[in-house]
Amino acid sequence: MINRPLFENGQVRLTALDPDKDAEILSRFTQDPAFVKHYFDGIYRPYMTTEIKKKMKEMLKKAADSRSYYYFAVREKTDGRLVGMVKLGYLVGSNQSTWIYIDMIDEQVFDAHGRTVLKMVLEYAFLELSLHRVSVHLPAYRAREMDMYEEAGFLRESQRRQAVFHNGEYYDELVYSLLRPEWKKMLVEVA
Amino acid sequence: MSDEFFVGQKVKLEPFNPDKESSFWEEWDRDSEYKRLLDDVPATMLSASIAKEHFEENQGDGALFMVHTVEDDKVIGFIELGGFDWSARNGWVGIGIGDRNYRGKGYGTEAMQLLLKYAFDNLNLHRVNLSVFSYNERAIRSYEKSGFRYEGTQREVIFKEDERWDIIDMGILRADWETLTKTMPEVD
Repeated sequence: MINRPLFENGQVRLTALDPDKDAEILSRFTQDPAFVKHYFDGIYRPYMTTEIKKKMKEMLKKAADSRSYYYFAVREKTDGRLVGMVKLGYLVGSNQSTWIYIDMIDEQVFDAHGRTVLKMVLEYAFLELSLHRVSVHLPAYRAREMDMYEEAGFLRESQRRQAVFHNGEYYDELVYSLLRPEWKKMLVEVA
Repeated sequence: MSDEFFVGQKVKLEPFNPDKESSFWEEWDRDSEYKRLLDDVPATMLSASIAKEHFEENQGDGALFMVHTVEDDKVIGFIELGGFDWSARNGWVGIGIGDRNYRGKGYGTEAMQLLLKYAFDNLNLHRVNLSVFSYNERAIRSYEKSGFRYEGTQREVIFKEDERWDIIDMGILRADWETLTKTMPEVD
């Protein structure tokens, strides 16, 4: 099905990121420590729109040069509003493996569109990038995301003890993955 | 003297000098087994001058040490602590014993023990992380000796030699390290 629409599904689209236009909304995303960890190497702090523009431009340039990173902005179909960010990172082509990062702007948007976005990301990873393995790491306090990935067939593989600090407490960091044959089996079961 | 801190029985940890020591990377890179034990990306080679540029431009805040023998001050490998998370107070360690003659003889294990002392006693870290490939059994045993605990297996991450290989996640908490060092002779 070479005419499969990879970049739209339900109420949302995966689109290009536009650093100049999107920086203002992305500065709101930096309230989420997970988002900061996914896009900035530094500590959890608010990032200014100017810093975000610069960082996003560097990031997109590096992505185009390396083919190890892919970024998408998640937008509402109705009004084009930026509601989420998708990253596939540290992709090693020869190993057919990647990490994925899905950050939605708030819990309402996550509940409304998270699963649709994950479905699109997996189709992109397995059917366009032709990968074998997709991994995700999550702090153990992110129960909503754990549920989503487990429902999609991801298996918990690793529990890095006390690797995350959040609101005054240590939490484990979990590593989940979905392998290509498992993903295909899930598709058959759902159908 | 504070410099005594990085000296053990068999090895000592010294700063890296890109001008004089980048050639070690060129030399070790020729050993494809070394490259496959060290990294999951395809084995490639860097000339000393490109390696030097790479370190000058990309080193960031990682603590990179060269591993020297105590006996004759020979450079045998490197060890690095980086990828810091300063709120969770952890970092990632990577080690490579580039000189084949010094593998499997306890040099790497002692370098790791010196590094852990630095991580916990000086940087005040809470945890040190590492990943190791399932085919690197010698390294896994060495890390266990230094107090790292098995935390999980990432399945089929690596595709080499027409086979898929796992990555083992290991970690050591300050509490693990304190328990171990109480029962072990001091490394220095």
